[in-house]
Amino acid sequence: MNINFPIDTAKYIFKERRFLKEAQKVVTNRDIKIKFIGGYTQNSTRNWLEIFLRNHKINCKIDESDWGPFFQFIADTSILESKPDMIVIFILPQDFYSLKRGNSPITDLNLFLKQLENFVSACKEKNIFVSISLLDSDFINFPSSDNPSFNLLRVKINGFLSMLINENKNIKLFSLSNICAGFDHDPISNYRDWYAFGQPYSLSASFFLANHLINLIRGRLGMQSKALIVDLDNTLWGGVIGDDGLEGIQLGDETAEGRIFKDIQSYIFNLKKRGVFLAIASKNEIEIAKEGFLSKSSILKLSDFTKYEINWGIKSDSIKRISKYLNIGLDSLVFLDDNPTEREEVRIACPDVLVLSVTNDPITFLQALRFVDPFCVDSLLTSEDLLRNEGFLSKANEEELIENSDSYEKFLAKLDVRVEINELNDVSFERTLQLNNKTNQFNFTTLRLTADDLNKNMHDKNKINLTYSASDQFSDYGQIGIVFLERKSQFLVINNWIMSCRVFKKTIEHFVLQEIIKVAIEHNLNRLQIKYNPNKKNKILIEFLEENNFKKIKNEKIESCNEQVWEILDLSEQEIKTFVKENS
Amino acid sequence: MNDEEILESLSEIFREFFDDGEIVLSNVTTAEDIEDWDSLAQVGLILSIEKTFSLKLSAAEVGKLENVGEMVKLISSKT
Repeated sequence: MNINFPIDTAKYIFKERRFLKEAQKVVTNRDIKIKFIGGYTQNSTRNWLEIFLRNHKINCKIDESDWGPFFQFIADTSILESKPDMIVIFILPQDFYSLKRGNSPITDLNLFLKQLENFVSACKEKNIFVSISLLDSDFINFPSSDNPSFNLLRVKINGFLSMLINENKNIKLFSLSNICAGFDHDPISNYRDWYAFGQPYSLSASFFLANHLINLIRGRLGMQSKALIVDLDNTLWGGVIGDDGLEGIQLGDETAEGRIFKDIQSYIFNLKKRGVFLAIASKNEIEIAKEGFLSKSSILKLSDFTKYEINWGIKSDSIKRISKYLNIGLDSLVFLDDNPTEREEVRIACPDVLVLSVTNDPITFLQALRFVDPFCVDSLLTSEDLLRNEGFLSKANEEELIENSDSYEKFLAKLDVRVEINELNDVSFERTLQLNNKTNQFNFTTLRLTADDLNKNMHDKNKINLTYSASDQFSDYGQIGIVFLERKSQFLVINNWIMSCRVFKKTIEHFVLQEIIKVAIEHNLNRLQIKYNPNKKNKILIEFLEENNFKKIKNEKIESCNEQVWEILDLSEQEIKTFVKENS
Repeated sequence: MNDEEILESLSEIFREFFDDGEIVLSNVTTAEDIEDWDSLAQVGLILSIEKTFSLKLSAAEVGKLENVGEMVKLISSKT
């Protein structure tokens, strides 16, 4: 579903049912169970969430609680027995209107908050992701004299919620007025729709809220894009640097347009700080284009961009080169350009690239980045994401080293790659789940484990789950791999093995294989098997299996998937070449 | 706009809203006759009607709209 900016919400909300019918035809490849708690009538939010999920090939079952305030449904945690993957709790001003006369809301409030805390910790135990609304603005402003004002109530509840998230990474808070800010429509329902239909949010706000929730879910599933490619003239600054010169371009506090571009640059700079790669695809003379970054108002510097393609060639070719350089697939790239012809050219030549549908009004760039949220900025950040950018910055140095080495092998020896292997534990759990969800190339089965599966694996005595991290002379890559092993009579079976593509070609996988063989020998297991389901993206693994003397012993076609088993017949004669050392 | 024209406009809104080109409304059509016409569809439907006919309906008026005939009468009285 391609959304055009500025968003004409009416166009979407009047066609909700049509979009739903269309979405229900999409073939899905995973399932999610979601439970809404409170929120009165959230039918529209529910429908839009289903539409967005299915458009991302996710099948869903979304249950709504009965009609009423949230605290009616959280005293009892038995609803968690149906094991939802995600819970959305709506806390609304209307919830507090129904409190009986004479029953001070503040006494009740403490009880409700205690119940909420218990409920949320029960969710944490079951590894359920929770999204809770902050208490937004009031609806009626009752002129009560004996009760504390609504604002005080709001501060108290929101303060309590912010404390809850401090201790629990599985909770995210949202504010509807934040989600809708800057988009020309009222987030709160009008009195008529509240009294006639029990609708606390406007229909367009439901559309925005569902979009916020899908973005959270995408982030949880590791479905975020990885790099942003931008044009320069009229995209990072107003005007054309080659025509208007450094003094003539619009950037900075002096003009309205300049202020917009300053905030766009700020937004992009913050993306970089979060681990998103930046690149440039611009039709320009390179020396002139670079001048734009010399403006004293420019927040971005040329060095913030990992790769720049500034030339007169076709943009899709530039983008393909950027993709290759970063080793990031086209389907993880986002392209921002004010020029509709360039956008169309890229859309046709590289349909996998996410091209933001903006106009030449730079305000729509901000709206598109916020609404589409390709990088899932509200989702969890792991320290590895932050390290990732650092790792790539050192790639240039690495390339120099290759040039100065006689051979690649000598280069590897100089690079001094170190690997540390550990058993999976609570600390590495989250990163492991993320690797399991988003790695496609070095992933033998691409079977995505849920948090629950992973938890079971951790407590199964016959299973050995090894995580590993790597570093070299230039960078610390953090945790980049996981191996799922299982003991079966005289076999050691690799149920799956996942490694980030960032560390390819460093013989890390060879080192890890050597360690796996050691595990087999320690447990007196004399045979090693690995499960492999080949697909379009993990074809490179065949080469790895063959060069390490694995032989294919089984190949079954199950539905559209090939399930293979490969085996090393004689572990004692296995010789592995690796340049990696153990990190001690 | 006479009642017949209102009825035709309403039919168009319904066809668009329920994504069903076959819907033909008459004054006696009720929610029973159209599969997807439930109380939850009502919110969007009313909004669509208000926008098309440029009018505002009150909470009480919205609650009484049980069949198409009443809708036509109400719209006619307000335009």
